[in-house]
Amino acid sequence: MSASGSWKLLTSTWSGRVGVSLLAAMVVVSALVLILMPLDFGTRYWNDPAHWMELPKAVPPAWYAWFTGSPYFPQTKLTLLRVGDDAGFVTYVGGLKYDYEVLPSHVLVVIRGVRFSGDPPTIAVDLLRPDGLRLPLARVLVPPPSPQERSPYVRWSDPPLRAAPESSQDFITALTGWFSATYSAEVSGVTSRMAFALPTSMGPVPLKGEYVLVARLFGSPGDGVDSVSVVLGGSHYGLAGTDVVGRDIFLGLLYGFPVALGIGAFASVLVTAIGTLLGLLSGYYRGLLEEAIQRVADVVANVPLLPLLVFLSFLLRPGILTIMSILVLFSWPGLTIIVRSMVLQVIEMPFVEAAKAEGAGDMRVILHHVLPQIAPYVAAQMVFFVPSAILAEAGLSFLGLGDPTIPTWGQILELGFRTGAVFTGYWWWVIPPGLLLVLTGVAFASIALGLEPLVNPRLRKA
Amino acid sequence: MFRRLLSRALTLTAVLITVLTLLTVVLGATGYSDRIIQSLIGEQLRSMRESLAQRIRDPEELERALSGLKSEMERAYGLDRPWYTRIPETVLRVLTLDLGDSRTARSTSGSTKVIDVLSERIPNTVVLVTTAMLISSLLGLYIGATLSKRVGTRLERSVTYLSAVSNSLPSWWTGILLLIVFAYQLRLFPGSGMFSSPPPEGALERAVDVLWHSVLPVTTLVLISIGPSIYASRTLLLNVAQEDFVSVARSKGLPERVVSLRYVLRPASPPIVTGLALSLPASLGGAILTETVFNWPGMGRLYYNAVIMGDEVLIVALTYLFTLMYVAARFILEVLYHLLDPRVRV
Repeated sequence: MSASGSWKLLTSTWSGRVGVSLLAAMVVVSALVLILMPLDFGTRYWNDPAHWMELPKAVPPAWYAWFTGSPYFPQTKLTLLRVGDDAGFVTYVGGLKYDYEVLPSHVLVVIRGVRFSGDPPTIAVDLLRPDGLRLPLARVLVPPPSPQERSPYVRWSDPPLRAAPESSQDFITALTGWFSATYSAEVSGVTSRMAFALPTSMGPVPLKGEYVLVARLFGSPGDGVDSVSVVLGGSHYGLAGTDVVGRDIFLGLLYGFPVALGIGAFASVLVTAIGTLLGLLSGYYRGLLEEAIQRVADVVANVPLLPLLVFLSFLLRPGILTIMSILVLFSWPGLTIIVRSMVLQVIEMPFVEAAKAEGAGDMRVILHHVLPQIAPYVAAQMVFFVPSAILAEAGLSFLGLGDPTIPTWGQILELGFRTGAVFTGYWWWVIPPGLLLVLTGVAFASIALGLEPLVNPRLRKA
Repeated sequence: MFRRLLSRALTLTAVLITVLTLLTVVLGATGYSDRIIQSLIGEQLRSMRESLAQRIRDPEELERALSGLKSEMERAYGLDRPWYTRIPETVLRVLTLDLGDSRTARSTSGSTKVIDVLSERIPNTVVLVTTAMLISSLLGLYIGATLSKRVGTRLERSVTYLSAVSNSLPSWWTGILLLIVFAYQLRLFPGSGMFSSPPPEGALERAVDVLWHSVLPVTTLVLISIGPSIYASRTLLLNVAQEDFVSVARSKGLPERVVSLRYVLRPASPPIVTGLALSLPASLGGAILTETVFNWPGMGRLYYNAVIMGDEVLIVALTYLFTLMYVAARFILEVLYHLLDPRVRV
């Protein structure tokens, strides 16, 4: 059957259409990810906890708050505006009206690009609460220049300085002192979110009202910062929530698309190529070669794959390509055995004998007369093998044996399971990556099912 | 028939030896096996130093005695020879089930002998995997047979689609979903292990307890393996049902029961058994993942722990046993195949 004929057949069935559209969507997402996200996303961002400090840790996705009607505070980043230069200091101010039902998950001061020419400046960031407290969020001493450096000096331009208020004793004493003096509440275990809290007997609740943020830089004339901002962590975040490191799971899931498709394509093309080639050779040439290939195929086909994969990945700690090559090395025999038996039938057919009688060479007979007969079956097998390869990688990742430089769906799931997401109810951490794995499998299984009449002509009647 | 079975037996033995050689070569070539033996010797030397120090007072003499012991042990373990000369001994040792001592795992009676630990764990895995395979193949055959008589109906198409698609369910993820819903939200079934702690008194109560703990793991294994089973039975039965001899049987006026049992199911049974044989490695391998999720104390969980802790002896023994169990099951199915298919008997 011709290529356009196969396409028509594929799109004529319901499952074929489902599979093709799912796969097309995945390919589009993968292409966008490859264009828009850096290729070294894994090592550069995903594995760097500092990159995710501004995000709340282990919170559900934003749409879940709307869905359940639970109180919601959006992730907020307030950049302070430069309002004036007085003698000796520059002031930055920002305001915020807080009337949410939940506290922010955490508070973080982010200072980017401090520029100075003389002595190193100091920066103080304060929060003025509606109840009158002036709370010190951060006191920053800029490191002095080294002898080799030349003015103007620049600090923290990339990455910026991220200061957590609760790491300073000033913040803790000011807040506990104020709580005990004003509300006669003794609070221990102060966290940064309590900057916006009112202590009650039921625990801290949000103190609603107008808040003012003031940052002052004390230094020489002309000194300043590129930006100073305060991050209030949301009670929910983004489309897929965050994990315990604060990583945006949605980004990890996106990056997993091209990785999964790449793994599947790489492994299935190689397996199909090796399996078909060996099957053709042993079916066509017979004799000793056939015997040798079939014996080896028999042995390799009977090796339990997963225990060996686990063993080899643990000992060799290989990259993703090596893992896939091992998978290929143990997966070709099934195809070889079947292709051989199909070739045995094909070479008995009259048109092959005719071609041989006309003096066609072995190469020509194999490529022009034998291969086209088995091609539909081989193509269907190639499609069918893709999800197996993706699942094998995911299974290894789930056992903690994945390639740590590349985030995959299996690895996201593994960390979730190991951190106890199942007991703690972090469903957004374990359900979506598995769902994407299943969806990928569904896409390829649907296509293979749509191709079934091609492989098994008897079903065409039905 | 015996020639064929003999050649199968030879192939399967070749599988065992290949796997073992591969294991020992990888362990040796990566220097892993040397490191492990060295740490083993170091451990023994430390404990000997204490007992020796009470008898030998002179520190120099003590050192001399210890270094003599060390080289003696290195010779005994074969460390003074290159790793590849140790391969035949290792392979032979494992083949004869002389499996040695585990460093990390212990049986309930406290024995560190690998053979003791394994004999405790193997039944747990066998019970889990065979129960699940039995359920899913019988159920799959029944549903597949029902479907093959209703080809083209909406029910047939949607069930066929679902079963083809269920092939892509990762066993561990399915397990996690079941855990979240049935163990932690609804609290119907236990979330991990094989017994309650403390285990209940009395044989009957214990059996019920194990049954209760096995519901989720078995369901997981059935869920992931029933799809292919339904799909294969339906397709194979469908193929046979379109053969001419079936139409002839029907036109002779034979009752439908006889037609479907003797003219359709009978000729379709050898390939169905083959399909069962081919799904075995997936089930056994799947046990590693499923047992990890449910903390089921079987071979899979033991294997995972051995890998994480770097217990070489246990890793070799378990990989060998996985292969051995698989090969044994393959052989049993092979014999079954011969009994079912009269064509290969002549």
